[in-house]
Amino acid sequence: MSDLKQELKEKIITQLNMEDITIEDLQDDTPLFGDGLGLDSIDALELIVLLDKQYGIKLADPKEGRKVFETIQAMADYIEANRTK
Amino acid sequence: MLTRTIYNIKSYCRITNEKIICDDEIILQKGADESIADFLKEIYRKSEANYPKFFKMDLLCKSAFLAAEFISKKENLFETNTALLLSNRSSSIASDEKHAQAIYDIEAAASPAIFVYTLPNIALGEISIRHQLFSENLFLIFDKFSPQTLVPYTEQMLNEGKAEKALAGWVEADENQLDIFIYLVENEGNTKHTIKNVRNLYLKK
Repeated sequence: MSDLKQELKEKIITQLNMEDITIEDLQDDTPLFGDGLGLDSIDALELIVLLDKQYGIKLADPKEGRKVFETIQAMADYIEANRTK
Repeated sequence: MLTRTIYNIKSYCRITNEKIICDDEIILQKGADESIADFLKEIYRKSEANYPKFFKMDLLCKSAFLAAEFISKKENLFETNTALLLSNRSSSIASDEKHAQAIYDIEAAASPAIFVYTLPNIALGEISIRHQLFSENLFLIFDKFSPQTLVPYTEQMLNEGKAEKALAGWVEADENQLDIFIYLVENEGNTKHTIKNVRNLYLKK
């Protein structure tokens, strides 16, 4: 699980072009949206693509996305439970 | 009797493959081996903009954003009625190509972060968001830098009261070239807003 969280942090920083953020800045419980990392709607779409491409998870319900993308921990938990690759 | 309002170029910023110049002052010079992307990053750091969204932009938006940023350091743009009138030759071709590569890839997956920049007028949006402008804006495509169109169009917008000032210019950028020239037009200023003066500033080395 900790490897997955590390991998997610690296992928998010790279995929979302967060050049000012380091892995150390990104805690497991840092909120990804709002006052935390401040991601926007385009970032949310990127995260949906990332789940699909990297872990074979298709997220169709936007309400589900709100919970899944709350924190790195929430994303990792969801991926562990639903990944197909 | 009809009187014609005289407009002036209050400030300008030029970014090329060699350097960034604002109002005749060289801000930074590009290193011989430095990539365009790295050069823009260096200009961003120099600007002290503290605007993380910059890193998400494509090269066209980054360079237009930076030119406007340096002008705004001298002349306030924030929440002003400043119209935007930019132009270029290649539209958003660099991002269009990246998007095409992504969707025609073997493991095809469009990237929303790339797709969002597949229109040149997104550069106007980025400047508007940064400076909270709710003003007139227009992006034109020309074969080459065309002050003969930009100057009368800008003056028409100002004369009709659609804006108090205008940021106009040419923004052509990709991984191999930077040809950026943005200037601020308003009532005050020492350089008259004429086709000849705009062209001369653009051509200035």
